[in-house]
Amino acid sequence: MSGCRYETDVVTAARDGSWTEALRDHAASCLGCAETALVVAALTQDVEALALDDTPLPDPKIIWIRSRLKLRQERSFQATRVITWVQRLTIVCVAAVAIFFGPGLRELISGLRTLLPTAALADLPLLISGPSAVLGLTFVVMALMALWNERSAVS
Amino acid sequence: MATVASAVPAAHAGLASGVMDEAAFQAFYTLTARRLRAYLIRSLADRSLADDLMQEAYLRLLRSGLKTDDEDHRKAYLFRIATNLIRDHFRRRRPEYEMPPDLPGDLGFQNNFEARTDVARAMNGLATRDRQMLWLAYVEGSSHQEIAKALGLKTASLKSMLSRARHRMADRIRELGIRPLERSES
Repeated sequence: MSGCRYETDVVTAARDGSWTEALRDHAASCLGCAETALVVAALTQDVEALALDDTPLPDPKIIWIRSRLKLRQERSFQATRVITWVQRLTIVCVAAVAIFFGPGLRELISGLRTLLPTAALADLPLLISGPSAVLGLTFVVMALMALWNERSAVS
Repeated sequence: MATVASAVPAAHAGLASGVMDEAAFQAFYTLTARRLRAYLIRSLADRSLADDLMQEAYLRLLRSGLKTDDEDHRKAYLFRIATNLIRDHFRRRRPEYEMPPDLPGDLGFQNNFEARTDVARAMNGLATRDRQMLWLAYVEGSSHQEIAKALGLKTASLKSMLSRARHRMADRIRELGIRPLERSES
């Protein structure tokens, strides 16, 4: 690390005291190794000081449980993501069908007017508004469900 | 230096598939948590933050689904996650990856056990990256490649960076008049 071939030996010796006479002589004459020995000895001393600190560690069981919960949440998100996309696709399809068949439906209704007796024409707006309301409500509910699923999966 | 692999039997039941079960995780945690906390404390100079990041590092390790029977590899991976968390922490705090203030007093940790030691004072005078490099190289015994990977540096430039960090640390030690005890073989 200091470019000296003795460095690994110096690091080991500074850490565990396995100095040989030759290595000690070398460290005394090599600036890089002398610095390495000083730094490693200081750090080793620091590690020992920190080891004396008996502050309890966080409980590994809690970390384990948190990881399992997070994993379950991620799996649930993965699973519901497919459902959410299917719901979105359904909404798009319903909207596309409504747009595509909307003008035709209007024409059909106008055509029906000519066939229906005059008395029935009075109820026509009611007849149309029922299915439209159901369609619209379904559309809104599905959109809300899709949003709700997405939010609950993220949180 | 004793490796993690030598302390955790490879044939541990929980490691059969390379993914840890709860017992294997607890064994791994017992062996590595104090070392990881020491690394984080020295890198961050903040115990409570170190504890938070330590838990997050283990969580990320478990969620990564790392499949390996090599405990030393797992440990290196854990330290890499912790190093990334430290980097993210400083990036969030400041626009650039800067070092924290020079003295522990500036950080308000002067009463903390971990900031009181002389070596801690010397370490706190260095840039975070310098501290990380020195710790990984000389305490954890990580290879240049592992350190470069953890710190997002080029292996080729690590040698000179480590050399400069060591030089700065040696200067700080001399400035503060620290005389580490010389080890004797036991």
